[in-house]
Amino acid sequence: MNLKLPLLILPIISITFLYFQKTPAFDLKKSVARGQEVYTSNCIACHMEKGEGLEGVYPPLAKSNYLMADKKRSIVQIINGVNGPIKVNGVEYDGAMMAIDLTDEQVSDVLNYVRNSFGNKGVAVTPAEVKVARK
Amino acid sequence: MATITLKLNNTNHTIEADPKMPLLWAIRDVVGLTGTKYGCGIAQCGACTVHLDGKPVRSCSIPVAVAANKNVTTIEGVSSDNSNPVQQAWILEQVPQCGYCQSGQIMAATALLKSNANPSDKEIDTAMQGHICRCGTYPRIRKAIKTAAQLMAKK
Repeated sequence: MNLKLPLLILPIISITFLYFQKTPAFDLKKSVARGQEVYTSNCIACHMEKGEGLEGVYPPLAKSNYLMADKKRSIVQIINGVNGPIKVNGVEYDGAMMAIDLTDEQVSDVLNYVRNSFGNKGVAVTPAEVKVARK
Repeated sequence: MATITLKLNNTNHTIEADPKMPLLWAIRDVVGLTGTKYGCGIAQCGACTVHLDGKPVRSCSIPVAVAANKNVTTIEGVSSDNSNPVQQAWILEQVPQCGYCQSGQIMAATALLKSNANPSDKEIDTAMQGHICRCGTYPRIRKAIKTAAQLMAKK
């Protein structure tokens, strides 16, 4: 007769357990190192070796207020590309960036690289966040 | 229209052009240096690569006004007699098949060797990734870059 109670409690316990179970710590340093390779292959042609870009043509990543303002926006921009006018460090840009075909981990790695290089410092972007942004 | 001075392969060219016109158009159609090729037009294939103040850039996607008064080097400016080690290596290894992408490949290779005198296979692949070759000459490109590195070391 009291089968109902444990049946109700069990999912609550498991959800609570899952909620508090810590995900393994994300290794930002390793991600940044992997990201450099992704950057060299996919981004360097326009954003340049030191993330300086080309004023008026390719927006800089180095000390970029636009880049560092919103990591979710950056994820979506890599997945879907960017089109139309944006303002970076006070300069207008009106170009196009193609969507880049990368895995969730590669997107996270390359963002961690640019967000933690060229004078930037930012919190980690995880592959899980990229996965969510794809939906 | 605007008057723009292009420093192309150490020669000044004063041209009349829309400032927003791609640099590639100025190089090929206005100045008449056709060694640099038009590939995709959206900075994805690397065929139009030239050096802007020594750095490889996609000339199809850069407005000509941005290149004004900066040093632009095209494939014609690498050397006048194929004496550049990269050109020598390209001949030695018989790299090109159809050749369309090769001026971009050579511009990228010279830039790579300037920053890394002895690149590994992986470093070459990473650096050259943005340069597409429909003939699939990639193994010979890689080989030629290594040969060029050796030739440069001998000099």
